[in-house]
Amino acid sequence: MNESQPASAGMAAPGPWRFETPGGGGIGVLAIDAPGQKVNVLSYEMLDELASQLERIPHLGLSGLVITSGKPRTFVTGADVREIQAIRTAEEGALKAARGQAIFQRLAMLATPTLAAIDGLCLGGGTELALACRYRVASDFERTFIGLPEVRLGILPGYGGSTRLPRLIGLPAALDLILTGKTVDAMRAYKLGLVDDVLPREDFVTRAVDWLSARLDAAALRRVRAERRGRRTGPPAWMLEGNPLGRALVFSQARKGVMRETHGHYPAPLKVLDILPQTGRGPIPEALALEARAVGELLVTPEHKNLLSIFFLTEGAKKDPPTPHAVDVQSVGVLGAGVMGGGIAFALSDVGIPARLKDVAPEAVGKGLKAAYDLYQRRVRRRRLKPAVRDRKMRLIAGGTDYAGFSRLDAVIEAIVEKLEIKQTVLAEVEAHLPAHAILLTNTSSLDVDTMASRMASPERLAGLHFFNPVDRMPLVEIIVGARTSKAATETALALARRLGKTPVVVKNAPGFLVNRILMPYLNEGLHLFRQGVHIETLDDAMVDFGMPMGPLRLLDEIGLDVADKVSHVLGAAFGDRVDPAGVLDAMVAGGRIGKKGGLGFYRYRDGVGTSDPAVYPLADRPSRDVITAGPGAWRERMILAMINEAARCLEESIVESPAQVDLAMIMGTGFPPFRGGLLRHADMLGLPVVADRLRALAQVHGARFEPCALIGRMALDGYRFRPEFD
Amino acid sequence: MAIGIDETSGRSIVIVDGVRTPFAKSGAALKDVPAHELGRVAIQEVLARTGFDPAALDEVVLGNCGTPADAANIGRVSALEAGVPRSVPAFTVHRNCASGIESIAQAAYKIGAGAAGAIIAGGTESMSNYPLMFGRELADAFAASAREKSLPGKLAPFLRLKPSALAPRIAILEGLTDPVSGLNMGQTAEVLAREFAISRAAQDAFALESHRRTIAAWDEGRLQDEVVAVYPAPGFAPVPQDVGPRREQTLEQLAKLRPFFDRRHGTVTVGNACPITDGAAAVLVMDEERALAEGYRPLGRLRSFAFAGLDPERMGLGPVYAAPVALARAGVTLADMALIEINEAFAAQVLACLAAFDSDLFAREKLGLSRAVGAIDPARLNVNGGAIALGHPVGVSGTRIVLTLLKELRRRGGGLGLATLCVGGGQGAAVVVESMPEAA
Repeated sequence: MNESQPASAGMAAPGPWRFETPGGGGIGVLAIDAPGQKVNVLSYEMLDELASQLERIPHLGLSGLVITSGKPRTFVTGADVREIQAIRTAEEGALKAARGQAIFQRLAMLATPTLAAIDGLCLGGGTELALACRYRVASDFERTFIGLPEVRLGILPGYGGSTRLPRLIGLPAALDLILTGKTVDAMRAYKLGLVDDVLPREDFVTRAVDWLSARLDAAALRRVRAERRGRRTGPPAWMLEGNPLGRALVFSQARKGVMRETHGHYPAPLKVLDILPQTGRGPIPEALALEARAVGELLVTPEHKNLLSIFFLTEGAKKDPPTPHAVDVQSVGVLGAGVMGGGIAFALSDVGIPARLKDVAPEAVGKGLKAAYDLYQRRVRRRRLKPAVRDRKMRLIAGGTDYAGFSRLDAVIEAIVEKLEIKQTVLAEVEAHLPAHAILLTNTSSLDVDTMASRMASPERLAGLHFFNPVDRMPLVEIIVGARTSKAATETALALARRLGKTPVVVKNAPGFLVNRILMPYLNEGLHLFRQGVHIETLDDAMVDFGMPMGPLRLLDEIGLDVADKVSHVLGAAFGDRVDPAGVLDAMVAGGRIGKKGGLGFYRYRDGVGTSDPAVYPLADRPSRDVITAGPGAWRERMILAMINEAARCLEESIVESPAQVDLAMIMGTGFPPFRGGLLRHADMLGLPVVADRLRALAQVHGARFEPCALIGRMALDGYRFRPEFD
Repeated sequence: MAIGIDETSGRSIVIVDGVRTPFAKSGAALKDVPAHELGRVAIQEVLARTGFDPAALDEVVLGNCGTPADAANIGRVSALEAGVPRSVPAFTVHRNCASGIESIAQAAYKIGAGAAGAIIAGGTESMSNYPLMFGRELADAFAASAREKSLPGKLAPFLRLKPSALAPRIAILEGLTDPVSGLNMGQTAEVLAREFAISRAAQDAFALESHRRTIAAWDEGRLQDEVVAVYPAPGFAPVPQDVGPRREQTLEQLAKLRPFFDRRHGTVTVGNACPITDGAAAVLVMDEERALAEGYRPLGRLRSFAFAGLDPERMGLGPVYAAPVALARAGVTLADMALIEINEAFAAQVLACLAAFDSDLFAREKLGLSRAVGAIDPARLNVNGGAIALGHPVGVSGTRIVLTLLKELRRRGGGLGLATLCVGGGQGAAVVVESMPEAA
């Protein structure tokens, strides 16, 4: 809407902020409806439009104003991340935040009572917009979720959210929401006092107008405020927030939690803890200024840039490449009812896809069903899932020991034992029971997809779909394209992975594919360090300090030493001498240590808790004083550079399309620290000339396995970077 | 009075395929699985095995006798839980022990009348989950208590109760007792044993043979194909086979059992009667023309049905009353039957039926026929065992015997078959089927 146009109440105006007075009675409705967009995003332009609308409002003689969304399933999903990405300096960031704050402040200062009516997803800037209204109501729509996820992008709520949320719902609850970035459903928001009522979704806007028209005077405001406080649970506000001691306690507890979760690697939550003591109380203008400065500072941190890039990569993986030739998958067979098969059946049923779980013996099928059930049950125990929904989803999984019913499946995921001979036989066998259009997907971590397909009548129907353990928590899926794999098979795998909420990365069929291939030199280097006398926990801690979810030896225990041993032999056979296996695994496995699943690996497990087992040290060589005294930094360097070198080789061999894909895969598949932006982004940060030099130096001391690959040498020489998009 | 389905409409009706859960003695492997869940498993599996689009179903109908309080129209509950779309209606039928045939009959009649083209029929029963009920006096006390406001007021109605009012009514005992004659089912079997002079030894021998045949059928892979394993939550320990047939059963053990229903002079024991049991079964019933057009090779045709009424005290003779009518409607005779299934409620009852089938006197006096319906060769009767070994989930057995009959007929290369049951309350049910070949 242009300001030069005559403003007329009651007439729908073109533009993103549609203004109308539906019910009469002097209450206006401002519907946010970004033209040509699926969801409302608060771009600068959208904010400017809001500003001009707000200028008109006082002159319209309205008794109240309801702000709602013109989109069917969302309110406002936040600020425009592309605009955020373009911000270059802290000053610019603070300025942009201040501009948005000023507009929301104008909204907050309106004499006209305002109500945000939230139906659907409401995130970030959307929530901050709602916070600037006098009242908020949410619909009982199952997809109404409200939150401030800014910290997940390495920033903090900068359009007044850090200032208004603690004042509205109290310090502990506000910290919980802002620090975790989690969303809450309508009922939870109501209990927190974040919304003042939950209204039926039908005729939501009309109900919101009625709701506001009953709460236009000052007495109503006092009543609603009292009700908000009355709903809060936990210790009374005066105990924690009403005195300096209580506040200090709240903050120190929150800080402990943040340090436990992030090891101090993420500046955003720490910044939140720094400013909230001041933004949460006292005069608003000062609070807003502090908030704007803080967000400006965070916007230029590498952590923010890295997290934002991962956000874009993840979003990209949801769409690209597109899958026009994918088979429409209505139901899926799962072969092999182990932990993996059960996990896959869980993932399928969780998104509503019927699964037939087949194994040889009924007992195995029962175990697979139980594995899936236990994953649901975990959510039930955390009250994230109702038992009735668990049962409904479990009913989508049918168990069996024969191929009954396979003739109507659209796809089969094979997750049986990792033995080539058996996989070849089973794939050929199941193929005979499937309809002609059905796609076969093999969940292999190390076997060759082309060889696996060799006995099939139509080998082009087979693609690899490599899930990572545990399936319910690891977001990555590698899509493996064999030499004969059809477009339909590849795209079906991609589309299915996306439906399961996974992040797919397309890789070439080569030993170890992508993630395991890069991971093996890292684990191998960890084993070398162990062999050279570094203590188990110190070694693992070195990588945890780097930001990995766990160190290499603990990870080996998790994977299973027998499995890791097998994979390392496959890779050893494929890549020959340059692998230089540390040789510890063979002895460990021979000694009955297979890792966590057997209760014994580098760690000894009791009730799921592992403590390092001194009994394995005899498997190491005589400790090398040089290596031990070199310290965690040097150990880390060896392990990280080993990975970077292998990742560069994968690029040389076109295993994967781009360095960004490597980074996405390593973060989603191994938990490589997101704040570092990925393995190759980290290499860029180190500087490729440094990487090349250090690799050469390490090769001098520890052997040829560190010899930098040609690509790294060339890029270092020519001044190229893996992820130039960051520049 | 012959009203064969063929003759009403010219439509031929087939059973495409079917499946049942294992049958498990109540209180055993399936005790924690509610009836609607058993029904769900059977329906879902039939859909999976036939590949029939559930949205194309016209109806789902299940037999069920012990109506669970939380799933009164259990056919509907099971259908929805099996993934049958909401748009497909479902109902539940109750004709006591013949409920599982009644459901198939309902499907056939609807298709025959042109009111439907594809229906899933079957039955489900969890006799483990038959409830204990409050007696009237106790129920009244709860109601009175609910009306009071104060605690003493709420307690008072209970304090006035006689201790005997606290004893629960046991649904399964009441359900297995005929309210008209006052006899329970076992007592009706005693009546037949006496009137037809069926000895204890003959009953025990029949029971032993039921176990032997069932075990042999499993061992030789003849039952595998009609059964889908059940995995009860939350342990998911598989129940792949029937829990009831006893491999080690001997005549000596059977002979040691005390008569259960008439302790002093009776001959019916828990060993020569069917156990109360949990299970479910479902079949896909279709218009033959449509089934063939969709590429199915149906198990067989439904040629005729008959239901008959008789003296409730002699309900066990139901098959003798119903079978001749079904045979006549199909235009065939007992001698034409390649295989026969008579549900084994009691050994005495089946043996009494065999005697009555072969009796000119019985035919003249009770059935109004000029001569006996015919003799039944034991070698063609219940060839894969029966309810004495497998158990008799009352709402399901009708579907099971039709299913097992069709599968066995096909295995033997075709022919006609008769499936018939006695029905508590004094009824008989019978169906004549015709096997169809697997290959075109």
